[in-house]
Amino acid sequence: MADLSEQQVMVADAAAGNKLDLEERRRQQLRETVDALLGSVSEEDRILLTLKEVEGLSLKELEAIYRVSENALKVRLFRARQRVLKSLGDMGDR
Amino acid sequence: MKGSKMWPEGDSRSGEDIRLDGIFQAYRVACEPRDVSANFMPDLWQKIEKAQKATFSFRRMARSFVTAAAAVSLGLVMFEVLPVRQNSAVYNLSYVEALAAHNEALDARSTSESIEYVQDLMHPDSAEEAAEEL
Repeated sequence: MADLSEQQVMVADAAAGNKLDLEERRRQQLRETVDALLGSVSEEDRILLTLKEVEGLSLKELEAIYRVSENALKVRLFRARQRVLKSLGDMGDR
Repeated sequence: MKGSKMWPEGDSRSGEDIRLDGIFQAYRVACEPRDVSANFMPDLWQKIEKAQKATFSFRRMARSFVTAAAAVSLGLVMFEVLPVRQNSAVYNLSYVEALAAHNEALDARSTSESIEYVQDLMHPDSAEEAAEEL
C-alpha cells in the first residue's frame, strides 16, 4: 500500500512536471509570437502599445506620460495597431 | 483591461482585432511571474547563483585549457629553437657526409683485401710457412 502510494505520488509529480513544462512552453511560444508582432512597429510605438494593450494603462494615463493630446495618442495607437494586425495577418498566411 | 475605450461604442471590430486583444491579454498573463510566494527572491537568487557557478566553472575550465595550451606551445618552441645535443657524431653529419664516410670505409676495406691477395700471389711459400708455423 505504501509502495503504491509512493508510486502514485511519483506519477503525479511527473504529470505535474510535464504539465508545467507544457505550460511554460506555451507561454514561451506566446511571448515569442507577441515579440515578433511588436517587432513590426518602431521602438516608441512598441512601448506605447505595450503600455496600452499589455500593461492596461488608460488613455488619460498615457496622456500624462507622453504629454500629448488624447487624439494624437489615438491616431498613433491606431496606426501601430494596424501595423501589428497586418503582421498578424502575414503570420497567419504563412 | 482598464482604461478608456479607443473606439466608440457600436464600432464593429474585426475578428482580427478581437484576436489581437486576446493575444495581448494572454501575453500579459504569460508575462506575470508565476511564483509570487515569500520564497520568490531567495529562489531567484539561487537560480542566479547556479547560473553564475556554471559560468565560473566554464571560465575556470577554459582558463586551465588556455594555460595548458600555452605551456605546450612554449615547450614546442623551446624544443625547436634550442640546439639539440646528440651523443653520436653520426647525428651531426648530413646525409651526403655520412654516405661519403661509408663509401670511404668500403673502399679502404676492399683495398686492403686486394693487397693481401696480391701478396699471397707473389709469395706463396711465405704463406705456407706461416701456415706451418701455426
